[in-house]
Amino acid sequence: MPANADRLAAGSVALRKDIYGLTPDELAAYREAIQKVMQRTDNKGYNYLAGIHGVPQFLCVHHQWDWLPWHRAYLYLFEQCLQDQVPGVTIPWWDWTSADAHANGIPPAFADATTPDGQPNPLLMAQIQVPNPQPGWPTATSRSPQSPDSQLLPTNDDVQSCLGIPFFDSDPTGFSEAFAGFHDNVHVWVGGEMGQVPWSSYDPLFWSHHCMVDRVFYLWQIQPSNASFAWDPQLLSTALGVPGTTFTVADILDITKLGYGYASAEVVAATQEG
Amino acid sequence: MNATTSPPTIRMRLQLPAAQRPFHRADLVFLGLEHAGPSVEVRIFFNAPDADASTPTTASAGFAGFFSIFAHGGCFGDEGHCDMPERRPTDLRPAYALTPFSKHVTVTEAVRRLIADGVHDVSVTIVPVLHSVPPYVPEDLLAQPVVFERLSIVFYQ
Repeated sequence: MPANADRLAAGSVALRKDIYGLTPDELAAYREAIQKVMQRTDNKGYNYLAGIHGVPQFLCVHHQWDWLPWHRAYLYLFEQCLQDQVPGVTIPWWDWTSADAHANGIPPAFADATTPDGQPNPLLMAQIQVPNPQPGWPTATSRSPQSPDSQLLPTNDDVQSCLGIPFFDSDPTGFSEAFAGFHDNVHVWVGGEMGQVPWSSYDPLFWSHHCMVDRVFYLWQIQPSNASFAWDPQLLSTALGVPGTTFTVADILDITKLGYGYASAEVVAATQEG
Repeated sequence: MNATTSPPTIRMRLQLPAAQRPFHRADLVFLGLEHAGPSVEVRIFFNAPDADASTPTTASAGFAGFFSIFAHGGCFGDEGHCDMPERRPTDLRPAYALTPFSKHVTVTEAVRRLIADGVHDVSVTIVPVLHSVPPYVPEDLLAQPVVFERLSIVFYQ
């Protein structure tokens, strides 16, 4: 993603884009970054990063008010490790409300066995290496998606119903909890390791699912009725506890400070002749 | 796409108020939902005691709503890892990952239909639907994938 690298070098933010709208070069760059992270065995490597969420560190936050801030910080850490490998690369979001998703299910970018040059697709599956594995535990990710017309796959109306909720936090009728249900449905719809909390983050699709989740959180934040939402100071000061970061909730609310934004389209101007 | 299985349903009864004031929303509220077991789709039917995983999710079949439990599918730590002992006063770590949670399921239209039909004694059938459970999920957790403390209905005026 050279354009993103240029943006970051110029002090701007990198753009996260829709997986369906990536150019072949952008998709290749994302796959290259994932592949390189998968080859590492240190704390910038795929198994370490996936293991923060699930086995063996078990630090993910679910069914609690701060699940969205926690996962924003977590994706930030993962994306920084990708950018260590391929400058400017960003996590693309998978819009599971799209007509394409409801017609065809998981995008070919994640479902194809090979890349255009015939190499194994690193977005299809990942090896799982954990300390002291027990017999029967998964050693690689797999998926068992339900039908694309399943009621489990959220619709745009579902997302819109959440965006209209004018408060965030712990009340189960707030945005955070209401939207959590749709997030859960996608995990269950994909099945396989994605459907199990301790193993879900090993699936390469996890990151794009949660990028969509984070994008909806961002869209909720910029709704005119929510832009001045008064966060409880106690919630703002809560430490998120994502290893390798020192973020509190307050630190992650402005995504431009985290170096990224969400774009639905980009048209680059051509150089004017004459 | 994989086969689905349906563990035993849960049947409960709810009494709707005889003189219900106008409301704009009605939620079924599950308190104390556990999520140590398999991930599961949970379908809810009103006055359809024989509903199961094959019952159409239509209003005429009594379908009221659904939700999923994105769950842990077993314990993948050392012995005792998933135990939740009483917390010491000095244990200031975050909440246990398996702390039960609550879930609101909006069932407004289904409740309106019941009230319109003059029905106040409602049977609630909770149908767990397991989709393609991985082989490492312990079998004893599959028999009862939906466990909660309390079910109620809440009206919003």
